[in-house]
Amino acid sequence: MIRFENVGMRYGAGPEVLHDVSFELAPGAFRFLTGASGAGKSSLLRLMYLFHRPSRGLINVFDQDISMLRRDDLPALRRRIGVVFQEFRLLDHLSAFENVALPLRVGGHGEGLIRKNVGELLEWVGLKDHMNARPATLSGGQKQRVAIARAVISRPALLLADEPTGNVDDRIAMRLLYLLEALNRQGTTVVVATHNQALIERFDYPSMHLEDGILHSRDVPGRGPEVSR
Amino acid sequence: MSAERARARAVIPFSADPAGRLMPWLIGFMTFVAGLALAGALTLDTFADSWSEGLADSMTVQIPPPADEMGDAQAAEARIDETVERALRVLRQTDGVASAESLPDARIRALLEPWLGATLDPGSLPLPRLIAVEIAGPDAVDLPTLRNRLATVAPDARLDDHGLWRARLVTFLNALQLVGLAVVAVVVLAAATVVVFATRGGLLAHGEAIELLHLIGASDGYIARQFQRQALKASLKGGIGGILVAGATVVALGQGAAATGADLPSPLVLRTEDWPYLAILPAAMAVLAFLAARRTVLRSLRRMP
Repeated sequence: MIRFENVGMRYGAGPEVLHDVSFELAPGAFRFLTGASGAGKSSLLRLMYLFHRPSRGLINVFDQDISMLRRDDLPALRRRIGVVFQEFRLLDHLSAFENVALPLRVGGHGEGLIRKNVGELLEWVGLKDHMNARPATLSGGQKQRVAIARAVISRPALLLADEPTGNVDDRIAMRLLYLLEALNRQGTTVVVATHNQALIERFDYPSMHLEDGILHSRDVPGRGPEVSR
Repeated sequence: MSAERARARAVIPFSADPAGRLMPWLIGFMTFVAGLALAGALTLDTFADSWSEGLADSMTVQIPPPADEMGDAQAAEARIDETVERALRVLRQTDGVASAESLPDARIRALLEPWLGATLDPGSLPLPRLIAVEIAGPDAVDLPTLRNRLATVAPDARLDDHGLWRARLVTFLNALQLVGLAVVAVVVLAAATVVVFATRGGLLAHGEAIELLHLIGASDGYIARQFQRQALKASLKGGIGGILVAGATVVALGQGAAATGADLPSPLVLRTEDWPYLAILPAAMAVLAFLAARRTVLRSLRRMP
């Protein structure tokens, strides 16, 4: 699914923020990504959702070495990756429905399919009655669910969530994690970056821990087919 | 799809962008200016054709007074009358000449009046006689043969086919036309620059939405299409408005010129076949805006990973 080998990353001419990161996630894996603020979690996620190229090392996504890909090849790969951003990044001028529909429109899907799938998904995340609501009128938890719905609407093979529970209370955080777990059971590989230790312990999936740009992994036996180094 | 639905679905909220809102007005104003310049250039074309045709159908024969006129005025007058008569006969017998008339003194005085004043006695100056010749068409008369025949009956006669004056006039009008077309080109380029800057402003103003689209897998072409569609709509809206006002101005100027009753060689209005050029202008502006927006967005997006 995704493999990093000795990946280093720096912003411009600045210091390296990730050093020799190596790991591999098999299809269907569920991982937490932990670490203190500034440890490099967001940078690692940026590399995973192909928003940055590594300064060194090899990144292989969906069996493709991204250093060998042309810029024009990347959008198709990005459409197979769903991202839940920490600060939601919903478009304020669009309704919840239109925000969720965005990846399907970008992918060129027909209006009939968009109406059906977006309607069903918003119902699944409990926002059936808020389809036409603008983000400004939604609560933090509702916005987060819209963001998750947008990330999964095109059935991505890989779902990356950056602090998805950072802006919601514990009860909603648990519900969101159950939602991500359900998606994982349907075959989606999930990586959740979080500070929430209680959540990590409650769900007990393997985690990758970043400290000063260096990745440490903690495997949980019997959990998923993923391989970690 | 209703307008409300279309607005709701616009991925990038251009309506909230001040530069985007201003663009139709700027394009409209520029189309108006370019339309007037183009109409001017096309009207000059009409003038050039009309004046050139008018001059091409006429010639002037000038018979200077005899050198000894000061000696015996009456004899000299009789001699020049005879010369004029002989020249008229030759002219009237020439193929292609529709008419040849000696200009009466009163007409010659009227021609000189703007320069020499109304009080001048023409008899006090050795004025040449003029014969106005109307010909059937620009190439209807064999000029070298006519010159030879005139030389046998009036050796000092000068045949002026207005070729030099016509050439200078056409050169001058062509230069004016070029200036008009250059104004059109400059305004169109300025409009393209406006679109480029408005698009850059839009890229900055909507940076977050663009980055999000990029992250969820939108191709550069998809993002560029949002901008180029917006530029096309704004420039068509402004361009059509601008050209309608320019067209109305041209019509009003034409009617104003006609109302003066001036003896213009051509009416100050566009010919029917000229109007399509004006109609094409907003379409050309829109295509240019479309391409300028697309190129600006694609170049800018190339900086993203």
